[in-house]
Amino acid sequence: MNYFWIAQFKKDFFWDFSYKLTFLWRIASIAISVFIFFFISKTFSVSNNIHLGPFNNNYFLFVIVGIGIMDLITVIIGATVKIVRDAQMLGFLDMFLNSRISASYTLFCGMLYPTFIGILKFICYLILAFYLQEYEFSMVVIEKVAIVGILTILPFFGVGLFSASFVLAFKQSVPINSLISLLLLLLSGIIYPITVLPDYLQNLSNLIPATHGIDLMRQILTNNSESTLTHESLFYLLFTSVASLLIGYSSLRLSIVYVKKLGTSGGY
Amino acid sequence: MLEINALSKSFLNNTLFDNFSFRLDTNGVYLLRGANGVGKTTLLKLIKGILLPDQGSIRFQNKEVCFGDVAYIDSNNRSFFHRLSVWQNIDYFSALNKHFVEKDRVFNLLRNFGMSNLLLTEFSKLSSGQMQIIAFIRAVCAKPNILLMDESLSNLDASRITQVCAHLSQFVVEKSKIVILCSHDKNLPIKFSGVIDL
Repeated sequence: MNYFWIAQFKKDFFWDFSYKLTFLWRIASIAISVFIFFFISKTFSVSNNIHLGPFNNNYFLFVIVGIGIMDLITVIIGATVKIVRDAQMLGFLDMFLNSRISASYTLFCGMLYPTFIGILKFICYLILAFYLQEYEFSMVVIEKVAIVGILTILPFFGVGLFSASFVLAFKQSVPINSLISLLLLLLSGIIYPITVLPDYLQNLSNLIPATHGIDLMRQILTNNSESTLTHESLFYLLFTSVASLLIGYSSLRLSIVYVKKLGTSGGY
Repeated sequence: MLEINALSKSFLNNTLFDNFSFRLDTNGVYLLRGANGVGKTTLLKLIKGILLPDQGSIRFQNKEVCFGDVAYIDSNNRSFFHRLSVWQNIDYFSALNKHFVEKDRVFNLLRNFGMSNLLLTEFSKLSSGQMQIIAFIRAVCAKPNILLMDESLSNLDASRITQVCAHLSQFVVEKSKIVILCSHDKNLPIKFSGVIDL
């Protein structure tokens, strides 16, 4: 099975594992984060809150899902930036841009390992959270969480490609990724329900695909429900995924032509 | 075989090529020479596709040159994953060119240079000269038709240069193979098929 994505995945694993302390710390940090949010949730568990009502007043599960997805999204949009920055600094960016494999596919494959690790982290978050709450869930719930999870992160692959094109052209990435992370934190209901936001911010929040994905996932998990997937939300997630992938792909192509004209592809 | 037609390339106010043309009709090793800053590296990067020309075309066997046709080696040793082994590097970069090499083939190539013991060695542990040989092997594993070497013999001792030149002579035996070698060394142990003067 000679596929490039396998070679990329293998390389990324070996590269990641060569930094053993970082690798181990990443795993340890999951447990620490879960305990932090578990104890924070204890603070809110004494009273009923109208904003948390739709989520069974379960702030712990609410925040773990939010943080888990946020973590995953940050990893995805950061992955392409890291690939391009590493390639610029290590000096093989030109090989990426001029190989038989297209640059967008190389970057897409480069997102697979970080996404895989991010998903593992997310699963660990959920398993630890459920263990602490002695929570049980059905196979149907797992399937729905998987579908919604994939649709929630898919648009951010496009954002990742867009970020990569920005780094390629302007040699810096900080504005885009930190802006997206801050907007998600502010508007997508990561650590508080969006119902606490004023109406005009709620309208903005509803435009962000992650808001819908996280909301759906929470409803499935906290209500252990099989009837919460709406066609509108799923369609919106699918639509934004396709749109962002197209935008990301086009911007990457444009920035490759731009740096090849200027001769700055290897610069950083 | 390789035809560069009416090529123009400028950077800001610096025009390096203005309606520049040449043809290489037969397989062989060609020497690219010229003073510093005259555009040798730029020309090689244009052929590889790292740079886009302002005007003109670069064709190989009557078709636009495609990425898979050309391998480019420079004197830069950074372009590897230093924490991975020699094999892991070559395995990955070959996959990037859709050539999945066998470990045995890489082992044999390394053995030709007396470096077979380095197959599983971390890249960062190699000397500059050994890194250049690995860069050469990486390029050859991509099975290019055109091999561009930009000062890529600069860190090698005399015996290694002889070994690389012997490989190059072997490489261009095949009909469609061209090597363009950019070097300031006038005493390279190789018979050039022609010289490109800039």
